[in-house]
Amino acid sequence: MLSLRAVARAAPRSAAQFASTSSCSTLRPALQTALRSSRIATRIPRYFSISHSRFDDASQELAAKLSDEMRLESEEDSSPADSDSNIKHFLDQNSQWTIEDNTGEQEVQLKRKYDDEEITVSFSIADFNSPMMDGEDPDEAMMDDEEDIQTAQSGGANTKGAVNQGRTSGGNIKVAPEDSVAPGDREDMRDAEDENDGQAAFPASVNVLIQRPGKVSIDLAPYQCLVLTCVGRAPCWPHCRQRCLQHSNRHPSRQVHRLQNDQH
Amino acid sequence: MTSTELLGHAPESLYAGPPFQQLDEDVQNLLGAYLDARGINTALALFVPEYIDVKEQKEYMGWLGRVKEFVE
Repeated sequence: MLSLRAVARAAPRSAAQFASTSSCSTLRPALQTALRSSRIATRIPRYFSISHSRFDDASQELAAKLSDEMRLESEEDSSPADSDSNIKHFLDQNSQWTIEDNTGEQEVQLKRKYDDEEITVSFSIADFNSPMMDGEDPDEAMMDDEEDIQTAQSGGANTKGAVNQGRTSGGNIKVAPEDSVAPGDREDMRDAEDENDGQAAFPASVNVLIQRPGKVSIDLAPYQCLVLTCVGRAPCWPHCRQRCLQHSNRHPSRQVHRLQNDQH
Repeated sequence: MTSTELLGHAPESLYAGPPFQQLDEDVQNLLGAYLDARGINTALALFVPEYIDVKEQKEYMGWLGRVKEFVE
C-alpha cells in the first residue's frame, strides 16, 4: 500500500487543476499555467534577470509546476504541529538520545551510551515511500501470539503513549486496527485515520547497533557488536519491539539479528 | 569502522540466527527486556515514524526546490 500522504500529494493537485482548467477553459494553455501559479508567475522574471535562464517551454513549465507544488505543500503543511511537539516531547523526555540528522540525507541516527556500550539506532525516511509488499501482512504471522501481546503490551502503550497524545485517532494506540477488524473493514478504517490525522501506514524499519568494548576479544576485535532490525507498520508500533522483532522472518534478507565482530 | 559503516555492512555470509519467533520464548522476552533497558522501547517506536513523517516532508520540500533551481 502506498502511503496515504504520498497519494494525497497527487490527488488534490489534480482536483485543483481540474477546477482551474474548467473555469478558464477558454484561455490558452500557457495563460492557464500562468494563472494557476500566479504567485510564481510574478517571481519568474526575477530569476530571468539573475541567471542563465532556460527559455524552452518544458523547463519553464516544470519550474512553474514545481513552485506550485511547493506552495501547495507549504499550505497543506499547516498541521504538523502535533508531530513537531511529539518529537520535541520525546527528545525532552529522553535526553540521553542525540540525533544525527543531516539535511538532504535520508538516514537518521539516534545515539546514546549505556554503561560502556554505544548504541546506535538508525532508520531511513525512505521507508515513508515504501509500500508494504503484497501479501505481506505481518499481523497474520502474529495471530497465535495475539492475546499475549495485547495483555503484555497494552499497559505499556497506555503509559508510554504520551508521545502519541497529539493523534486524534486514539484507536491506534491500544489496538492496531488491523487486529480488531475484519479485512473487509480495513479500508474504511484507514480512510478514517487519514481524515483524522493524515497518518499513513508505512513499514518503518529500525536498525539497532550495540557496540561494546571487546570483552571477548579473542580474535583481536576491539568491539563486539550486535545488530538487530525491528520492523513495524506505523500503527502497529505501539505494540512495539517484540512484535517488530517478530516480523523479522518476513524479510529474510534484511530483518536479521546477528552477532558480528567489528574488524576495526 | 563507524557505526554507519557497521550498519550498512551486512555480509550475507554471516549467520543471522533463526527467525525471531522461533527462538525460545524466554529468549525472546529477555531480548525484549534487554532492548527496553537500552531505551529501545514503545516510546522510541512511536517516535521514529513521527520523525520520519516530519523529516520526509522537509526533505521533499528541499528536493522540489533543488530540482526547480536546476531546471529553471
